[in-house]
Amino acid sequence: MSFTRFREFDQQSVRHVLLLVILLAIVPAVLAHTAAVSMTPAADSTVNAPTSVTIKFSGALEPKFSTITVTNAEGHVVNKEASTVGSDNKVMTVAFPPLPPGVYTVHWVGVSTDTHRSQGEYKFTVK
Amino acid sequence: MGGWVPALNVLVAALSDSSYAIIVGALLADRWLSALVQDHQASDVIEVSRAQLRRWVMTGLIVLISCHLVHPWFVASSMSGSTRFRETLALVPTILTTRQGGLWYANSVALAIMVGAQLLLRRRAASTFIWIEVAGLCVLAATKAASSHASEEGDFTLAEICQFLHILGTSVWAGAIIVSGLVVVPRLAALEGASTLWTYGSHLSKTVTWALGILVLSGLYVAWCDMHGAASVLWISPWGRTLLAKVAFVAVAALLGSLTRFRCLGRPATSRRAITMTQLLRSEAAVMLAILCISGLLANSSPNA
Repeated sequence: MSFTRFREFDQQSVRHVLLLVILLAIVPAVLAHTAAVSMTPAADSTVNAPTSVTIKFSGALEPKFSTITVTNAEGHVVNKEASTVGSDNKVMTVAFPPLPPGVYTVHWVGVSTDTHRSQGEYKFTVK
Repeated sequence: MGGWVPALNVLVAALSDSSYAIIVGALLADRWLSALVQDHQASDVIEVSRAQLRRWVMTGLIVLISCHLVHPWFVASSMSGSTRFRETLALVPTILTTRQGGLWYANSVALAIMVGAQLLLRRRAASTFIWIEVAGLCVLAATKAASSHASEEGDFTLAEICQFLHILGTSVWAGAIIVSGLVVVPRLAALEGASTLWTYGSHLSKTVTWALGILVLSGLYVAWCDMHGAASVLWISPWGRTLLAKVAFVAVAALLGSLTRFRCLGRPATSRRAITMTQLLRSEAAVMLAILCISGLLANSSPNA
């Protein structure tokens, strides 16, 4: 193999290796689907009678398909109003009357603007 | 029909991506053949190839429109988490009032203009026609970028622009190889002189090199924005293993591309090398189609599943 052809081959190899690296590197970009990053009240926390649950998400939500539902220990839904999404589309809140003592379950569904749906559940206790 | 919906969604996404890439590739190949005509290398073979490319563009548009029409239903299914046909169909009007709906309407306009240009302007005003088609393809790529994860920080961000360039780069690369490998090069190799094939090949090689550069740089930025060090998912989830399969196919395509360049185009044109080039490009085109299908699977599956 002459030096010129070796150099050509070397340039091609570098380009192709770069391509493979990027395809591997793209993985985290696709992995980063919208997820809940903080909750108030926090999961497994004990709090004084809260009047709302607020969840912050890592990405923008589609308001019409994203929801929070809070249920008591008997499984009854305690929020009479539907949840709302803030103006930046990353914070979702649901309001309810002050809760009596007990264990409550928060079920959330976050639909990101790229149409992917994630959901989760956690509990908190009112003392 | 529940279990079929995700599979159908993947199939439609793969069809849509492939059609888009084929339209891009066919328009590019037509330009390169048109340049051969201007270089006085015109022949009936080239004219027949160009007519075949026009049919590929029209077929691609029909498939793209078909996929576009059913898209809101798949979005309704994805957003609601339901796979019941009537339930999701009832949600389509709601979907059309969301951001996804706005993007769908923009795509509808772009597709209508592209079809109109194909029917009315192609013969009468070739340069106007090509610019309208390019603008339409750019709108389609922009709306795809705007409905991807890269848009979550807002529109017209650097991440979204890079995603847009990444889609275009991928489509140029895949489309040019598929159309050249399956339509143009076999015909030129069989019926034209090797020198005509080499002229066409140099256009193809230059364009694919640019597309690869754009694809790599834009992909690097998008990855850098979102990298959270979760690469372990690559080998522990079915999704990650699918991605690794895609990377393996890309490696094969890249290898075939470099063989075409160094074994054929980098050497003097001979009929023997023309046959080798045809076989290599045909194989690369088949690999590209597999890559587009796997991409459809990845885009519609969750890494967390």
